Amino acid sequence: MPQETILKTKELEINMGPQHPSTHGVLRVKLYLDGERVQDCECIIGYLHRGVEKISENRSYIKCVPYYDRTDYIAAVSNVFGYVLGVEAMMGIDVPERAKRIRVMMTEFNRLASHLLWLATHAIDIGAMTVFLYCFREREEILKLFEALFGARLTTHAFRIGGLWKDLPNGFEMAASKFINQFPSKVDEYEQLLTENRIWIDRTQGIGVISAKEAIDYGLSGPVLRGSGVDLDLRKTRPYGGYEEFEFDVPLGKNGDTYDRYLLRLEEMRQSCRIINQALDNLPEGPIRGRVPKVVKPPVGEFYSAVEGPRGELGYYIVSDGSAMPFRVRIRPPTFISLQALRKLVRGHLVADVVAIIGTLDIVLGEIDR
Amino acid sequence: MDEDKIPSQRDPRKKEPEEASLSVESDSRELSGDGLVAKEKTIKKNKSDSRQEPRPEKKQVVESGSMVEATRKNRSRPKRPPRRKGPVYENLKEDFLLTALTKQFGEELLSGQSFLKQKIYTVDQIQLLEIMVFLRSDQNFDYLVDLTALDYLGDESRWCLVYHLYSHQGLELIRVKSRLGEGAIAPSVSSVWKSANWMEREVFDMFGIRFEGHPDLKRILLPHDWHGHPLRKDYDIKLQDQSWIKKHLRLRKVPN
Repeated sequence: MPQETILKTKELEINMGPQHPSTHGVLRVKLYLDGERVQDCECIIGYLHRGVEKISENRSYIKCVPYYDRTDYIAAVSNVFGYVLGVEAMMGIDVPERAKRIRVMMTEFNRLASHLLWLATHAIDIGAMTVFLYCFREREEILKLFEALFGARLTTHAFRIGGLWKDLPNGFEMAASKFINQFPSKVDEYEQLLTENRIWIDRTQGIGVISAKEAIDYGLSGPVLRGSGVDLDLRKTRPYGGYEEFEFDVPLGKNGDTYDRYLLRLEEMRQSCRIINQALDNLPEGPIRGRVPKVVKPPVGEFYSAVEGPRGELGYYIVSDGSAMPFRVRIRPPTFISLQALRKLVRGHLVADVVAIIGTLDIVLGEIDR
Repeated sequence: MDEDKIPSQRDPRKKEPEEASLSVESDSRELSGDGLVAKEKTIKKNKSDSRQEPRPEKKQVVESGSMVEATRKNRSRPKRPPRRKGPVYENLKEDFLLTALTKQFGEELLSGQSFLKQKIYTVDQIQLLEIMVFLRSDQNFDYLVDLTALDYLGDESRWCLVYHLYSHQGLELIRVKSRLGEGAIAPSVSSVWKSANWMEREVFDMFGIRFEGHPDLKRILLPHDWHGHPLRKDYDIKLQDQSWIKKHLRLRKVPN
């Protein structure tokens, strides 16, 4: 056998995941490498598929709600919010003002908790251990608030059709305002550790760049889309559930890279604090639940209700055939659609950057696979 | 004039012994909104009447008891208008986009409706791709929000593809629906919006609808060698691909 070359070069195919700490769940990414540069990649998903949409077709409208907690378990409150709003719109149920305010407040608390978890894991992926611990310290406080109000920390089953399950417990407002008053200083603390950190900048600036036009084409939403400078925040463009009464700014990025998205999410946390403060300041007294019939039967029709979850546009397309069970509930998962862009984002980067890019997309596999 | 009399006609019934069930009824009447629930409750009430008597025929029930007479009176009167009108599908009038579409594609195969202020455009399968390209390039619907399908089992054209489009310039969200017969192949819009790629794969995975022109049409959430499409209406919720489970999980019998 003639030996022409000693060293053969060929594209290397490696599997990242499904059990890999930095894929944030059971995501398998097949990477095609040239040296350490990524040429191409393929995502293999579905390891967590539980058929939530099929289950919804076999449950009554009210019984569906807890299942949506379990799609995106990091942002369970926003998940339920979208569905509940959709059913209320179809039934014409009026939600009392107090319930609306509490809902907005809790959704924003959930955004904080979700962003904190994102920052914690994103930072530890890149190598900043301290931030991880700090973030979990604050997230713990929010989860305690959740537990006080909803009775659960993670799968909260937060909202009911028509309002809330329970009113705020004693001392909740004080605990919440105490937390929210000191929280901005904590965000500054994270910034101190990261924003001007040389390693952090090197690892995030210019990584995973996507232009505004491409971001729209790929159907990205939420902070990833706004990081590229596209002003689309459903809380502003299509206000829902009482958001029209709150004042807040929508931060936008410029370069559309990982660093911009990091700054944007931190700013979003500060804005969430503003919203929570407003909600706490003038919380009206009154009932917490509208009048809901015993059997929830929306009229024949269809409705698409979308909310701005921490990860982007979370939509519920509810089709009713007039019976007590939905004809179809389609969940529009923001990260399922964002993850498509991974292939575009990682091309030409190093393997270590893939970790940063998966982190910046802020994926939750429970939601992707449903 | 009839409307005013209704409460007084109903009031005597309230004084009947069955207070608990009636209070529920009055509750539902006030809040139901669309008459649907109110109707349902009267039916329920009839049932509770029939419980008092030993298995009577329907006609007998009508003839006996003051409560039932009241129901009969209600029944004999012309249908009373519902208190608050529930949402219905309305045809779009003077809609800018619909006019633009009919101008371009003719009005035979197009229709526009709205439900709860959400606009729905129904288009024919033959024109679907052209219309999507038109919406994207001429009407600036640059963002495909969602793509999914509905299964109307038993209908002549079984599938209904549902697209949600958003325009960043016009700040408008619309829904485009298109019916598709069983076994038919839909045109893929993945060349129009890149985000359609995985969503079409999901529709294929869950419903078995094939898309022509899709770059890589294969299962996405279920394993590639799985048989069946779970979101079809004739796929039972407990049904599983037994051969797949035997092969991969090495279970002899799969618990239901």
